[in-house]
Amino acid sequence: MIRRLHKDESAQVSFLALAASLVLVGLMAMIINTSDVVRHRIHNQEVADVTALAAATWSARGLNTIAMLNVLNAKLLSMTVIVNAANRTMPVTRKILALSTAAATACTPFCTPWLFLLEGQAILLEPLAAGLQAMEQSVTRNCSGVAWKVMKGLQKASDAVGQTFGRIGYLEAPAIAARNGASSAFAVDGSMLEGSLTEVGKLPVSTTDRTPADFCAAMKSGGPGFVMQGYTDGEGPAEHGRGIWSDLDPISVLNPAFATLGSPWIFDGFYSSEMTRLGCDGSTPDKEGQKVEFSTLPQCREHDVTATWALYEDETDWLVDGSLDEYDFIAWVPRDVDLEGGGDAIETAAAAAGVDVDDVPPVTHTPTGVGARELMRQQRKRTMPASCAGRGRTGYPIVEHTVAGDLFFLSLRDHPEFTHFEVGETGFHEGASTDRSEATGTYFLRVNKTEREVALEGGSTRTEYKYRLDSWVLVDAGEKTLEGDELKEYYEEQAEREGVTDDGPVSSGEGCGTFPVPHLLVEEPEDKLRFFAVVNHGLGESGQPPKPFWSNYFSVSPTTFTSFSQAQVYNDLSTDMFTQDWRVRLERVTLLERALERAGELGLGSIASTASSVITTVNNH
Amino acid sequence: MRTAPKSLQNRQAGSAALESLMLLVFLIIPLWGLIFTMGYLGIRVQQTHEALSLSTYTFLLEREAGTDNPASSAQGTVSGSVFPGETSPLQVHVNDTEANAVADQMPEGELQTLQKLMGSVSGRSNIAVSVTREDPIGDFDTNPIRRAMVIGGATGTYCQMQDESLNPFAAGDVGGAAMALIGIAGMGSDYILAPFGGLSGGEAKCD
Repeated sequence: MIRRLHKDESAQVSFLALAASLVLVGLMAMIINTSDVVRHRIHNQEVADVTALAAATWSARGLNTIAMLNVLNAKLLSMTVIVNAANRTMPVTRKILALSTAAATACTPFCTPWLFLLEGQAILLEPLAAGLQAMEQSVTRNCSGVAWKVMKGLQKASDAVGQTFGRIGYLEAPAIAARNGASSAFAVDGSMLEGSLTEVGKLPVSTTDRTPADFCAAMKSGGPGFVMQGYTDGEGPAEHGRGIWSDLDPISVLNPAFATLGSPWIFDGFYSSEMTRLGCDGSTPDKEGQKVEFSTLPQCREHDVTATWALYEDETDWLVDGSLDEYDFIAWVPRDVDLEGGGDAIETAAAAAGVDVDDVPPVTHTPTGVGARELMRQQRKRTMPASCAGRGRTGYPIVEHTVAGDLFFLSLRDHPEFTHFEVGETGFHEGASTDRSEATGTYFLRVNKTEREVALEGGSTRTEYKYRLDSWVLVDAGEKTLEGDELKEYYEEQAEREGVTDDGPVSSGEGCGTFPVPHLLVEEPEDKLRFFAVVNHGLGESGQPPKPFWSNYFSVSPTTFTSFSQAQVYNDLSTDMFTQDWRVRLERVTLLERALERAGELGLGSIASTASSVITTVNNH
Repeated sequence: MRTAPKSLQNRQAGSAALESLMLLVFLIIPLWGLIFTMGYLGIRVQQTHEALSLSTYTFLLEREAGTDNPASSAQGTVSGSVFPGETSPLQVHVNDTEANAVADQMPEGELQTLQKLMGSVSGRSNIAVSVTREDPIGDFDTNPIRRAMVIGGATGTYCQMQDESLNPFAAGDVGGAAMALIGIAGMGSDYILAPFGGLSGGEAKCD
């Protein structure tokens, strides 16, 4: 039987074909399986890559945002330097113009063309000076200007970005991985290697030990970040602004622009002074103390400083009308408010004086009352210090007072001939008391009326009147370098008075009077800017593709995949934090190796060895 | 020993030959053909993955550099690297759905650019790559192989934001805020504005 079966060759081909077919089917299954495994592994690696990039992207985004805010603050700071320097140039320019006009008048008619030019300059000068003064007061003045508040806000925004963006990246990374079908994923930055958990998720920028002088290089010399924005290479925004003034012809005194816009070298002097305040001349700014300009007499008294008052003495020509009173000589005009306690509405008064109210800064000596139009050109202005230091020193000037031929000296506030006015939020207040703020702009007014009889043709006479106006104005309430608690209390009071919630200083440990400082990179942030991502895929798990059916037969066929990736945040142009060009790229996984080395250093050798072998197995699977 | 008749022997040999021929024609050749085709498609699929990965990365770099059409640029780069010698086998599509959705919800006006910036910052991009499935035999459909990947939003480089009209220093936006600042002071002088930014006529520094 056996022998016969051995000899029976029938259907041998069919058996061979069957065996070959099985082999072929097996081969085909292996090819499909291998292809599938490779496809899942490639996909998993792709997801790991974008996960690491997503985490790194938020840090790059944060650094770019901070660079943008640093640039913006550098520009705002440059604007304050330019505007303040220009504003300080104006009084000098005005004097130059007055002297030039006097000289031109003296040599007229030979100098008539020059005089004509100078008169043209005078027409241009006043609105420009008024505009600059208004801008200094409302925009660029320390602490109270809009630019200051914006800079303060930008610095706080930078703080917030530095604290949050990296952490958002930590959340974003697994979310991106999940959207790409991963079972689980996470990403960490290199600060984990140092074991500093408090630094995890924070951007490696800081204002610690920074000074306003850290803005100087950017303001003066710019950098790649400014070049991208169209600035000339080597020229920052402050230098650019200075250049505009320097482009004016400094040689020709006849150039109308010369006197109107101020001599470039005069401007340069004030520009340098402003830059010095920032410490841009190489000096180290006083970080502890901050020079503060006070604006009210109570502050002047509290800090024992010296206020400055200005006395204006004006008079009218001989007038026929003798009915004017002191309200008609109101000289300092708040906008859009009516006079309180008598007098005409401000608009009416201004219209009568032929002055546009909107053009008049609040504390400029520009008479606009009904009687003020009769005032002659300002005759004299002089300033007088008034000490607030010591007992009984109230910050008011001491003024002569004559009673029945006897000469006395009285505090201006006690002088019976002067009426005390204060410009408040709702208008003028007569008889201001010390419980009011007595802010700069507060003034005292005295009107002397003189009569004379003038003979007319026909033998009749008429009475003519001349009014002399003496007005004292509080120009400033003194200044002082404050430190520590004194400085802090000052800004708290300032914030309370302005109704502003001020929960902290502009920069670390300092008040709003301190110039902003930039957020710059901390030293050696390389590892901090590396992001390591781990991504897992588990076939057959919830939300995952099903396990292939042959995985039941090929037990060696993997159904779980783990991939690693590392991304780095970098800036090839410049890491000066004024260059908004932080990008991300993938790089070789070094953090993993370093983490294992670090574990060995910490005596976790066995764990590190096990982890290493597991990772190697997973990677080679 | 008896043997089969000659005619029977001939018939059996013919059957075996015919059977072998039929196995060859109807089983072995199609099976090997299928294996080769699947292998080819597997390679093509892996090439697609590779193209997706490379496109994603190239797209990121191009977008950060402010390239006008980063998807198109990435397509050109990757197509030449992964599919040399083939004519337009790769298409790269990018859909910034969420970023656009955020921006579209914002009202028209001065702040729209800033809102677009925020939209871009918080948004994501869906990169879809489709690769033409070239049929070596000619009997299969040539539907493209598609793979997609969701990536994070923009890094916010200066050039990237400039390219996408998201430049906060542009005249209409924070520059506009500067104008507002100047307006508060009743001034509109270019001399004052110039150092603040918004410089005109600057040479384009971005790609």
